[in-house]
Amino acid sequence: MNLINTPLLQDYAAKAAALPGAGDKRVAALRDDAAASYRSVGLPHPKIEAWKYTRLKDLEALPFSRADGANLAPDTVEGAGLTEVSARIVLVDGRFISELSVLPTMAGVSVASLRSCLEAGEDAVIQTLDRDVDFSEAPLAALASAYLDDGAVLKVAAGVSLPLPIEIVSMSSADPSTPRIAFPRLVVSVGEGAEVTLVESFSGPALGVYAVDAVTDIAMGEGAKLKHYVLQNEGRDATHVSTGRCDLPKDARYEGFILQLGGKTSRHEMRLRMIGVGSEAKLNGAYAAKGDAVCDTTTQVDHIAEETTTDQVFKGILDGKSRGIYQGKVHVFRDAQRIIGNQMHNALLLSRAAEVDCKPELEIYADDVKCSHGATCGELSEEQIFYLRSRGVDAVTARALLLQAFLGETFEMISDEAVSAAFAAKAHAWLDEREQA
Amino acid sequence: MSNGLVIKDLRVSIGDKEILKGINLSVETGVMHAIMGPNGSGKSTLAHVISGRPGYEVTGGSVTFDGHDVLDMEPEERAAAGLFLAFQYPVEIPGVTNVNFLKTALNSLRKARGDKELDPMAFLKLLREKAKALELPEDMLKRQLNVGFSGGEKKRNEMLQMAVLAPKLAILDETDSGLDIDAIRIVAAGVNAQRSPDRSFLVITHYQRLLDYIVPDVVHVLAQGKIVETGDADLARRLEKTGYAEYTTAA
Repeated sequence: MNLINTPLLQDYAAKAAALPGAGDKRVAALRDDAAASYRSVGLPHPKIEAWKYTRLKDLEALPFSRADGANLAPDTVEGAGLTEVSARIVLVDGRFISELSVLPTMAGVSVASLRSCLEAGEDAVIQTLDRDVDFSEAPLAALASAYLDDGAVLKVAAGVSLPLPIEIVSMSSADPSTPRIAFPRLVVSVGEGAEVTLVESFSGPALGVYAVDAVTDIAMGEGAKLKHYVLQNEGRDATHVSTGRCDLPKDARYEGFILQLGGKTSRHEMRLRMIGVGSEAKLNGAYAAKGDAVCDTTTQVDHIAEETTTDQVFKGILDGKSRGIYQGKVHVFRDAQRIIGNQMHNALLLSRAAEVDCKPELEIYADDVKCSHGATCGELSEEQIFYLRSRGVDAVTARALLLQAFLGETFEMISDEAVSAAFAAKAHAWLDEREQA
Repeated sequence: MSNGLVIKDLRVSIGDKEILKGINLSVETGVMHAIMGPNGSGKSTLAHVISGRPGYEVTGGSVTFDGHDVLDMEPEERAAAGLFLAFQYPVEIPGVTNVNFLKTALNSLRKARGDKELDPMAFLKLLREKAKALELPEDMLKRQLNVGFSGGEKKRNEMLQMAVLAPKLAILDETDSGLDIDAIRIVAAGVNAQRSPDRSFLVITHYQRLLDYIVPDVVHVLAQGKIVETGDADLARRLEKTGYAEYTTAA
């Protein structure tokens, strides 16, 4: 059997010619390289190590076409925000919708549509997109880049400190007549010493097949501080793939959190490259899946510079016949001495049919490093349940309390209190819904 | 109906092994009973079965509390009926704070009894007052339930729960085990402060030492699954001298 399956690439040349910036050689080369990469690999399959546990079955089987955002009523967007914000960028099926967005008013912060930047041939944006990216294990990021079209470009100038988060609300529509895929793209640059909180959220109709293939590119300046929180709350028939990339130069601080609650098949991948001495990253997250959902969280951390630190804690709850995947790869380069890289994954299985696949991968070429990884997988403790019940708490409440507590420990790692509370509330809503089902 | 705990010919097995071989015991309202006995005599099994811990098979007999069939109740219903078990090994629950746990527990009990839930202010006031009486530092209330608590802190925390939940019958399962003499004094003071005409106690202990501080009205000796002797506080003192040898060799 030929493993290479490349849907969505029919008529690529003709489609690419109609995309913004097609006349710009740099942009055209970007797209063509990505398309060539996708063509050589095709949809992910288990022979690609990074995709050992997750297959994008709907993309393999159904005739997807590119989405255009025509089917989303504006009132769907109302209430999509999570917290008070400095700015809110709304993308519908990957299109930047300025009328639905709350544009920033403070100095040093700018938001533009990616389309307009590509049309104008903006050097900085094209350079960020053109970073040396290895698509061989990220075929969906390659596909998204082949159709590089619209999205948002956010720039925060050096030294700017934003008191409130900037939200990027990425919504999808579903077309009952044909399954569609959107490619939301976010390009972020955080200037030297700037302090920013980004909240990306992904959602779509509760029912109806659709797919999202998102890419987020972040460039940080020296000493910048970025909090980057992601909520994946797609509809239950959705396929969600997103790939985030962030490079940390000297003394940069990154605090990330990935909460995945939705989708039929979801894969969130975050790649951090510690390229500057003294940079530090925390990357934590939580996920919950039920039914026959597959929920994959994959992280890749490259310690390239010395004295860099990364810490990862992920927790998941799996119910029904769902499957959870956590893959954490830490690559320590030869010169990256005195680095610290920790990762931990804890999963709770609520049913016998649920499954978790956990794969830590350490590749270490330096000799003076501290790296650790750990994983646990268990059920709710009968001891704990009995203890609570013996104090008068009924069995249902006891279980709910323990599940909330299990995930709650991760939300405490979100240093922005409003986002922490908003994410905890989303997880509680998921647990309540599970309880009622 | 208020005649306390009545156990009749209670037989309990774990797997094929019979642990309790016909227990008869009545703990009347307002009275403090102590159960002493050698290791493996079934003391903790008795405490667990009364509180509804899973894993035990009741093969015969009955347990009633104020006339209600205890064995027919879920653990939370037993709590609502007024039963409380202070655990020998209190369970750690990461992610749930002591305060939140106690509030949830107390309000669950109130709800089950048809009372209104306490508002957060009134609850905190009650909690602080009880914690102070047990010399519990306030930060312990905010910590995760029993997580990282020392042995003494865990037992004192059990006493705090007892004080807040105000049961009609408290069963103390080897509450003195693993405690130094100062911790025993504090725990005992906590128990004594809770003694009242409408509250009864069943204190399970291996050693007589705790009973120097909590003086029981009635003392039973449990050996090899049966109550083999019943007396007053003097019986406990006698056992301190003679040990349990006479009960274990007799069988």
